[in-house]
Amino acid sequence: MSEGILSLTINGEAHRLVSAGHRTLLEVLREDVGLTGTKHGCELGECGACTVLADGVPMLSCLTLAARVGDAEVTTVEGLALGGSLHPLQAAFAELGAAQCGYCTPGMLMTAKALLDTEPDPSREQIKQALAGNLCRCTGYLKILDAVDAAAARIR
Amino acid sequence: MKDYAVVGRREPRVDATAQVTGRTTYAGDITLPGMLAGGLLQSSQAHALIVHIDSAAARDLPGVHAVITGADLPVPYGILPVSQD
Repeated sequence: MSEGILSLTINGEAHRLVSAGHRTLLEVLREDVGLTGTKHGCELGECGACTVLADGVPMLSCLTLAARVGDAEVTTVEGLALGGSLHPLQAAFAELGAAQCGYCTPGMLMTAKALLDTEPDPSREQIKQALAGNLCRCTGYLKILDAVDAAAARIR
Repeated sequence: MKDYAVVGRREPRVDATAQVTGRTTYAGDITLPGMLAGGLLQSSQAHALIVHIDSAAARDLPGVHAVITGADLPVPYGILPVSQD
């Protein structure tokens, strides 16, 4: 497929890249921009490890062509910290042991951020629903749900 | 209950901050100069005796540096001692 100029806004920074049209947003983020915090999991849209935000909405970057992102503002885990300090979700995940191997954590954090941005006081059920597309294979989900709960309380 | 200095207290994990900021480096995040990409071809049979693997056609493909099968290794398959008996 032919190469073209790709303009993306990632974590508030404008990027112009030469990229083939078939490349996914995940490939461009990790291989071209060097943002490896977004994880490559199943590449089937089942695990949620590659979740990033496009204009605040969770998006599976492994199933999204970079060329289709257009003007949307992309946010990755690297863009989550506010200035020099951790986002309340990051702090809560770290403090409450919600990450074990940490591979699913960036995707969990991005999905949880989208939830808290639209619903600052989610019920346990709403947190479970929101994170249903993000798989964790080591800690179990209780600590993750607790961390989202704790972060929501801190933000409010 | 006795109040201990360590037992029963929550301690932040040393790798937690790196994990929640996306800075933890996993094998798949590493890129080195001259790095090659590899792929696994799994058996088409769930349980069978390997008699011979003809990898000549794969070896001849442009860009292929190596095709490695059990025949190239001192232990042809398995990572557990029990599978090596």
